[in-house]
Amino acid sequence: MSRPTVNILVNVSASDIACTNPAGDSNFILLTSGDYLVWRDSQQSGGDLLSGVSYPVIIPESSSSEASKLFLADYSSGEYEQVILAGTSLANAGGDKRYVCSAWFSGATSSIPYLEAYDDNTHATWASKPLGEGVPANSLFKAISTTNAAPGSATWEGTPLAGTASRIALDSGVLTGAKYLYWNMKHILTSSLSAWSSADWFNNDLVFSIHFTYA
Amino acid sequence: MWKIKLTLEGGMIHTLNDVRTDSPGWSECSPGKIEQLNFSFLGKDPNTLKESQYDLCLSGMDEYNFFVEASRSLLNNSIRILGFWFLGKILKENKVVGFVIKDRVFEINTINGIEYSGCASSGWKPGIPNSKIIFDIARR
Repeated sequence: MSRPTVNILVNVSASDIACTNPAGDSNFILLTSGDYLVWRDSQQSGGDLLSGVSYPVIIPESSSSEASKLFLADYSSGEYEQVILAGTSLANAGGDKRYVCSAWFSGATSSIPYLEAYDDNTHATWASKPLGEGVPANSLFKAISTTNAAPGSATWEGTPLAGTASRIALDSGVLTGAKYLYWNMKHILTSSLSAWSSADWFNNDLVFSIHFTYA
Repeated sequence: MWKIKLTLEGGMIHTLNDVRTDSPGWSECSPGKIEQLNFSFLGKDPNTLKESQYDLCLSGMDEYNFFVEASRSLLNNSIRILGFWFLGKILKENKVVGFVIKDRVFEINTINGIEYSGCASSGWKPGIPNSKIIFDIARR
């Protein structure tokens, strides 16, 4: 069990079907150097240029809402590619969708892989405002593992992501060989965001990561 | 240094690969029964901040385990090593002991089955249990 290769892919089609190639296929795009994930307002469309107009998410006047669209900002093409099935039915085209984001492992692990969120690329802390500022339940990012089944509801709740304090197991046991793991994710916006500084709104350091072990 | 040294039943020594590489070698080795696990590494003394060599020793355990804890950013193809886990299982007490080497050294002393962040770990290899149980780190 050498260190497995871990490829991250997102489904940019409207078809809720499994990935067939760890390097990407007609539905899934492999994330490569320079790519990033970003949530935008419904006015943003797949195919829009990254250098063009961007439509940021809108903070609700009261209570909370779900960000409308998740995009892969594709560095190589210079375009936004919408992860169409991301989020719940409260988002643009999400819902009870299973094959949305994927981590492909080339081999076995010593423990269950987890999806986590951290303040930055040290993968050590989760104290920033978007991750709940010490209260994991208040994290603005929620995810649900769909490796073994769809969420079961078009308005799935999901688990807040905040370091190891609140995370999702991407499978029910350790990996014994190569495997695709899947999850769906969403971004919650609350009216309290209006009181944040712009630096907290535009936090570019946040990192989603796959936590695993090998021997 | 940075390699696991296994003392096997009968006194034979088996040395694995550098744990910092992509292939530490633990999962591939089928060593028979392990009498003792040793691991030497460099670390800073928390008081003097001087770098010293430390020797980790696990002995007398029913079973042994080792794994590397790692994290892979979704948007960056680099994998960050977060820690090296060295564990021993004491069945009669239903517990797992050992150490995690990160930026600091953490001691593990917990109930069997929840040794890794509340979860069980896989990859255990048989030991030779005896009454002289050792789990210790000493500065050389």
